[in-house]
Amino acid sequence: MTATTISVHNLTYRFGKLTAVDHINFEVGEGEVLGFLGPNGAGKTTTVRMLTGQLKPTEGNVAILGEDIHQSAKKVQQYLGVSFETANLYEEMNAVENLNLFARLFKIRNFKAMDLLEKVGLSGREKEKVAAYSKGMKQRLMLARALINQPRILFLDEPTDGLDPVSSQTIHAIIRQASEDGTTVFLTTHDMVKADKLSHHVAFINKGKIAALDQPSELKQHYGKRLLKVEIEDDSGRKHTHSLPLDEKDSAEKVREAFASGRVLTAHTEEATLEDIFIEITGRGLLG
Amino acid sequence: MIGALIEKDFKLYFRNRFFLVVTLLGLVAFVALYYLMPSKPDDTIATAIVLPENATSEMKAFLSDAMDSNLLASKEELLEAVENGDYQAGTVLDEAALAAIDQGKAVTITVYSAPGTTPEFKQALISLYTAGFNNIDLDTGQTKIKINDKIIVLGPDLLGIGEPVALRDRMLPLLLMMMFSIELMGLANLISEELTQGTARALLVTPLRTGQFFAAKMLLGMGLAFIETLLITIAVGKITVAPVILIGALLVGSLLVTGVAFFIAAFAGGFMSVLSWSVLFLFILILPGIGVIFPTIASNWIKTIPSFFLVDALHRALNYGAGWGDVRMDLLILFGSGLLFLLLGGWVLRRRF
Repeated sequence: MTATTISVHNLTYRFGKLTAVDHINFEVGEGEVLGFLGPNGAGKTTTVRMLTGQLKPTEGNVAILGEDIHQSAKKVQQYLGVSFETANLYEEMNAVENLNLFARLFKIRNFKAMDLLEKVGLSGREKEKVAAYSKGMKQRLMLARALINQPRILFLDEPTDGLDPVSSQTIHAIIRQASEDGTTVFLTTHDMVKADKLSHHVAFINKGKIAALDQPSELKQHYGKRLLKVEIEDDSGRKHTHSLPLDEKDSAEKVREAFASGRVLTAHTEEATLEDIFIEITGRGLLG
Repeated sequence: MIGALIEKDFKLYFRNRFFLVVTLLGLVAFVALYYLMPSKPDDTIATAIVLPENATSEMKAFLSDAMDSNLLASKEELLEAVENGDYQAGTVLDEAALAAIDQGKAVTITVYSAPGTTPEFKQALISLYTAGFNNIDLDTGQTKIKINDKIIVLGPDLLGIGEPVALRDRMLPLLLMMMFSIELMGLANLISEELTQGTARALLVTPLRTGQFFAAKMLLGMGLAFIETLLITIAVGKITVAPVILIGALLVGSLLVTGVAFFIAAFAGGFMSVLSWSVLFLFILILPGIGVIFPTIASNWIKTIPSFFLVDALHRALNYGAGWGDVRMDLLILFGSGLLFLLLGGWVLRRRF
């Protein structure tokens, strides 16, 4: 059992009468990647803001590395790295200047910005103003900024949203490496495929409440429906595709019937995706 | 940490081409404007007079000398010249009026004044003509009464009645307020950008405290405003007049504009919004400076504008030799106003993070 780095108890936030986050509870261990999934407006960013000490909860508490974040925010923030959903860099400064500023705020001596820029694939562009960077480059620079203090917990809010595959791959590799190095990663996203690949655990948040929290494989096993997809050509030469559930009482009979109805062209099993499960649990899609 | 933020803000301030150009232009233009203005008070009033044909040449010479008026040939010429602004006032004495004066009778004369003449100036013209004509003995050409023209003003002579102040020196507080206003705009934009671009949030999830964030902005704002205005006073050679009071007043003035910049940044969102708010505040803040140049237009309500106390302190210290005792209350009120704006702006800004 790894040490708990994030412990959330009954965390609630209300904007007036609207409850954005509603009594949520969870724990995250050292080196673990938690995918925090939900559609826009589900309460993801509000949760991150409370976990990083930017917002005071209406109810409940958050312990980060064993300390109450709101009583010891500045002490705890020394160990946090935060990458925001929207690019909030100093656009009139270059990448090195941006990183050096934050290194000074973390009081890091002998900071080598170029090492970090190389890690995120931005070396060679370090002297350009950030304003000239593409969205992917800005995201990578924000990730570099979040890594300046070698954080024990990394909060990443939609780090690959709208990025090209190369930028996404770079960021995925860094997340995996950080996790292997013992950094806890709190990954907020609505991209279920990426979350599935990267996360040890995923939490579904919907309308401010956690609808499910488990390992992706466990969720699939518990909620997902396995299917057999069969493509068959009948006697007249027409092709038919059948999706046959495998976990029902009469599954065997249905498979037999399908196979007997013509010539089998292709047959493969299909596993439920996290998105399917999310829809099943919450009754709504991720973009809604 | 505060040092790192100040260094960053300094870079960003001068990397914004608009503020770089406006600041440099302000420094050069305000100093140039100061030197372009008259260095000595202009207390002359240009007047013209038309006399009848039968007036003797001695009389013509005497009347024009006594009134310090230019002698014109006809009423039409005089009216046109006055209306064009060549003269501030003029009068026509016909034969009847001249005869009446000669006989010592009461005469009503009409004074024509230039367009835009203020009521105060009209009154001054009436006094001038009344005194001028009543003191002339046309027979002898001698002055009947010797009027003592020394004026003693009770209390501070801020209208420049007794000892007129050169226009450039009356203008200096206004020029300094305008430089302060440029700085106000730059700082408000810098703070507003931290909010709109979300960089303040990035800063505040590091060990940096909100108080340190505000302190850095305040020190940069005050530093720039103080140095820029100090440079102007050095360039115009006024730093030696009352150096301690001047430095004190500029420091407290810097606090005021920094406070107003916080206040503007708290309510503005984006460059255009900052610009609009800043222009509004600029117009309000420079009003007391305009009041120093045109004292008669300033009403008492102008004393409700915090910058009045800065302008008043600067004007008294630089142009009338006022000491600490005279400007102490001004600076205290100014300090209080600056602090109030700073706290109010900081409080609203804190809620926007």
